Amino acid sequence: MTIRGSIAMVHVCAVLLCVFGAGVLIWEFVRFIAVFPSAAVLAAVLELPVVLVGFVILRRLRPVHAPAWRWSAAALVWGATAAAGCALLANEGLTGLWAKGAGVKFASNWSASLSAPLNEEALKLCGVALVALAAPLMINGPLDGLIFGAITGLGFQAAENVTYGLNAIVLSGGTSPDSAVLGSALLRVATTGVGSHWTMTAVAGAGLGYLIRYLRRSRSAGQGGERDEAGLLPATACLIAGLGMHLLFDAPGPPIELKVGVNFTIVAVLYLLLSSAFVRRARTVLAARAAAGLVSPAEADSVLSRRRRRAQLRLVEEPAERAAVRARQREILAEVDAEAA
Amino acid sequence: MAAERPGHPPGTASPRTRLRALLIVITIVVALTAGWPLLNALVADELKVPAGTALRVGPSGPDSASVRVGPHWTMRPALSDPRQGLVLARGDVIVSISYLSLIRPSLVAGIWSGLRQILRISHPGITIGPPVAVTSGQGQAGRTASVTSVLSVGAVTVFVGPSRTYAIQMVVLGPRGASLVAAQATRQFITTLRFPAEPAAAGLRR
Repeated sequence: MTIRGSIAMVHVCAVLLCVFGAGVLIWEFVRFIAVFPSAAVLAAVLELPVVLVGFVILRRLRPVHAPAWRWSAAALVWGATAAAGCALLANEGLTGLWAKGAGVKFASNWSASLSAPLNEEALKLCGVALVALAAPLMINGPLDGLIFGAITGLGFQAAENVTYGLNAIVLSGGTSPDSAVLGSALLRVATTGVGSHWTMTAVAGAGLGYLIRYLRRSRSAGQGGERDEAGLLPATACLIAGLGMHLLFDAPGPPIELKVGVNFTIVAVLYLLLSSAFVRRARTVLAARAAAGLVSPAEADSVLSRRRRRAQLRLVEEPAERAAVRARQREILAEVDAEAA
Repeated sequence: MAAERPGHPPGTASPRTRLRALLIVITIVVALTAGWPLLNALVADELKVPAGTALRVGPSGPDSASVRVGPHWTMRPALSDPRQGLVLARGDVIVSISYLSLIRPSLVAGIWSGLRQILRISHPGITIGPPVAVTSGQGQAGRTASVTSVLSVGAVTVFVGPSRTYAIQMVVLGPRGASLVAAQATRQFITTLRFPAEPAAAGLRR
């Protein structure tokens, strides 16, 4: 099979799984839409600003350049459909097993924290992995993994918030559907939103990014390239940390504000470490290329800055020439991404 | 330097490796999505509850209620969470006892119409009869109504907690041939329902 054929296969499978996940969600909640249409619309509408703002911010957080719009959207959709729909079934199965095996009281306290990290993090990460398989240039290392993980988590979080809003109608006896949805959204956006799924999957996604870099460099080392000195330790640490953050978030006990704070702090520190290290390495890579004459001084000066790249493009009046300059910028950035990841 | 393909960084997976990785991803998705539900379906969802056992429903002491089961009842653990609701069974008769959290005490007035809506989601196809007043063994006022569908009969009953910030909903459903057992179950759970505080001024207004 050709590279193109294998990538097409990834596309088809990803789309099918997204359709399946969306189908599960619709099947589970279609009666809510029929019985409480306005509250169902409200539950979805309340998440729109969260998704839009979160999507813009998370893409913008990627230093040097934002990830491709198409693949960012794909990660978001995976989180909101395939991951959320499949997690619904997986969690139902595993929480049932906890209740049967360890008793209803234990399950009431612990089944969420013992089921969700395993099921939900794995299903969300599958989306990040599919992006890496479908678009090899998108995820080169931990920083890309973190950004795509966060976007996938955001999609999942939004879908889950909608389902929680709808369930809140039932839990409140159907006495005030709009208030129930509003209350649920306020809690899950204003209180827990900053430390929820996007943080956990960002950290686990960074782990997947480390793993992808390790595998890619191991293959490359066989062809004369450099081996990944960091090895598998950071990948394992990030994956375990993501699971741990999710377990803590769902565990009974500590106040939710504390859990949110811990998760947000972990992802913020990891982001700062990874982004500063990436920018440092990108500068080194670019300097080496400039020294070797592969990149002009003007290109080396402007390519790492969004503002300067735009300024460079504005200087070119001819559309065809501008397209060539843009293509050249992208080419250099792809090379820098691959080496500095 | 490794040979580079356009659009593919060095060390990029070969088609065979990509397909292998895709297979791993699909296996994980299928194993979690189908594996846990399948395992769950293979394990019996039945826990014998000794006659006379008091079962509590609700998140905490003051915000809860208890019922006492008669002989031959079992619990469905996979569908039960003491904080939110219990599902009990005796033969083909199924009883769902749910804790409903009311956002404001003033919403008590709308609880019956809310209940009708909720049942359209949880038990589609059932018809609810006109509600009648009922009193629990503790002296609490509530409402109950018969429910029927093509295959089953039963009753739905609701009692508001003393704080008027929560209610307990009980849905009893059994096949048409088991209407007597269903009626007995309804009576049993209404009679044994206990709220933690004295009923005082609580209960549904008639």
